[in-house]
Amino acid sequence: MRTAVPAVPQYIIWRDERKISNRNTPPTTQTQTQIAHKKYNTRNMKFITTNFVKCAVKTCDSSVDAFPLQYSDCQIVQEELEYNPEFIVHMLERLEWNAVVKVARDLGNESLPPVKPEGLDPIMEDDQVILRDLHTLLVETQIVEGKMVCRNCEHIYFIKNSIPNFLLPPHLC
Amino acid sequence: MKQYIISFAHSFPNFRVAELESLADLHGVSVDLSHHDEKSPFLVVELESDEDAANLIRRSILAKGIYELWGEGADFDALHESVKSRSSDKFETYKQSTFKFDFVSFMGTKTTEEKIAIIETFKYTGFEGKIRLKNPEVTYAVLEKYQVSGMEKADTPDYLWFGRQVQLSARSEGAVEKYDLKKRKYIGTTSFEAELSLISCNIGQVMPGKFIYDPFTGTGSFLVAGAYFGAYPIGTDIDPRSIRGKGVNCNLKTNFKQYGTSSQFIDSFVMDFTNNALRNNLTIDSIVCDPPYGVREGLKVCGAKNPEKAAGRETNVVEGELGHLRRDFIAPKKPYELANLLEDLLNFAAEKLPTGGRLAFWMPTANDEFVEHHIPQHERLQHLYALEQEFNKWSRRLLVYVKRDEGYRGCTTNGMIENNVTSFRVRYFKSFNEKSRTTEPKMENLPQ
Ligand SMILES: C[S@@+](CC[C@H](N)C(=O)[O-])C[C@H]1O[C@@H](n2cnc3c(N)ncnc32)[C@H](O)[C@@H]1O
Ligand SMILES: [Zn+2]
Repeated sequence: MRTAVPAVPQYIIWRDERKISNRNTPPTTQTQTQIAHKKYNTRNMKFITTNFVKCAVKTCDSSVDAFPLQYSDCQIVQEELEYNPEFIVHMLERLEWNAVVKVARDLGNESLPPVKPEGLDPIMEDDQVILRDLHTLLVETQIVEGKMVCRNCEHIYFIKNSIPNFLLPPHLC
Repeated sequence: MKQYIISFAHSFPNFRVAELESLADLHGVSVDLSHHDEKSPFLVVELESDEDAANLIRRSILAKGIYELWGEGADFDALHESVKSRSSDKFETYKQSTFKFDFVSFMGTKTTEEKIAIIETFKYTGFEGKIRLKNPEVTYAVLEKYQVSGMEKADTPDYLWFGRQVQLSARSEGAVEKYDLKKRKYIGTTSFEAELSLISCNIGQVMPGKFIYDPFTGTGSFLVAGAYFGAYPIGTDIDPRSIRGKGVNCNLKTNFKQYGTSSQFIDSFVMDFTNNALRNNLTIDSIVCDPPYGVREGLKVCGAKNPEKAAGRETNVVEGELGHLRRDFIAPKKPYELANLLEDLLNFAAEKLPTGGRLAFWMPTANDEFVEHHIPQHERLQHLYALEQEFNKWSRRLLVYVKRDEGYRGCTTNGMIENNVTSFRVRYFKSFNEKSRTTEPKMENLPQ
């Protein structure tokens, strides 16, 4: 069964006309969750990665609150990256869609469809639009600074200078 | 079944069967390799079709190419007789095709005149197509084996084959040179050589469109190799420096860019493998890595070296915030044993791999102490290979496992822990002398 997905901007968390490419100067738009960062182009945490990581604390393993983490105080950039529709199709198979919706909401996008768009085919024109948007959301939308908080143990993990860090203090190991 | 002949590079012959078996399994090709001889650069195999032959060889790093076998013999007269008697029916099929001749000879070189003279002797095939050195429709090959005694190569080949090229390998397409560390932008002391990285990915059955994960990413040698085969890499490392790289134009991300595989790269982040943040139900199709054994970099995990001293620190407050919840908090590390880390790795693989998924990792050993039962085992993983690369006083082995289905029950053992195998690092720095073999490792006394 195909899910009907409303068109365009619902996947877009932040669209800046001058997308980041490594040659351009960083965007200067600044809102609550969106500011440019000087190290933005070293490497960034892609939105998609939020779907693969949970709290690292072992006692949180069995808790449903350890995934996804809660994202707060995030600075987001959008980096223009090569569009690879197969990649998006393959990734969709792996995604926990509820977590995608939840994290997008953390980052200020309330408009994602509640059901995972499935059976997308890169050949179909209608699907292309959705795949492009998913590319923008999953791959091009990136967090350069922010906090990831476990809803179970409340430990805070940081995304620092574009790098998510899951190292634990001794008492949580 | 038809006969084909594979030509191999003169490189890691003890890895060949594992590589080809893995590629055959990956593509559902049935082939018997039991008669493989490490000393010979050629192997004749029986295969169902050209398609199977192409699938077997396309990704190979150790094979150079595969040819439909048209004839063979101890000298050219015998070769021609053989070609005429068993392959005359094929001449008609390729009569009008443009073509060229290749000479595949292990240790032999020929002048152009010699080559032309040999090509002339194949006149009886009646090929009428134009000779085209670039992009011919068909490439024929004369494969020659020379007797080598010591450093001397015999003047004339002692055996010959003739065949039609079906597929050249990734090696022949230049994969090994392309991934050469000397040409790679972001490398470090831990970078793993290109050829064996690519081979590890083949034996680890890294697949296009599937995940490859390296829990000890470093500079990402296995991840770029996995992307070459079309997989989607994800990497983690305890050391933020390895994830950060050496600058805006010298990091893992720019390596993918260099190789044109950026759009496959998932992400990398800082994580202690033993305090894992990957979500539980995430399927990881292949795991390929070189665990930290402590020669170039210490094996560390998160935790306090001295738990008594560290007790109570979790309540430390800095500027009104708990210290360990601050952005600038640096997690302390403590030493850990390789044997335990490998056990963690097997447990992780047993949990995250899909049925049929593979774990391939390198394990160093001092030459005098490796025994089969030191290979750690997990009840859900079947151990497939332990392939050795030898150095002077030590060697390392590529250990490969496959996850089996629910019905499979192996046994879980860790011979390294049970036999108290001395830390590799201790012995490495003591140059593997007899005494160090039985010495208890004392991590705090090690050179850092
Ligand atoms: C032998 S190196 C692997 C290098 C890598 N193959 C490359 O291409 O550079 C081992 C790596 O493991 C990392 N490491 C050590 N302890 C670790 C741990 N507990 N968790 C994750 N990574 C760790 C080290 O920082 C180092 O980068
Ligand atoms: Zn937690």
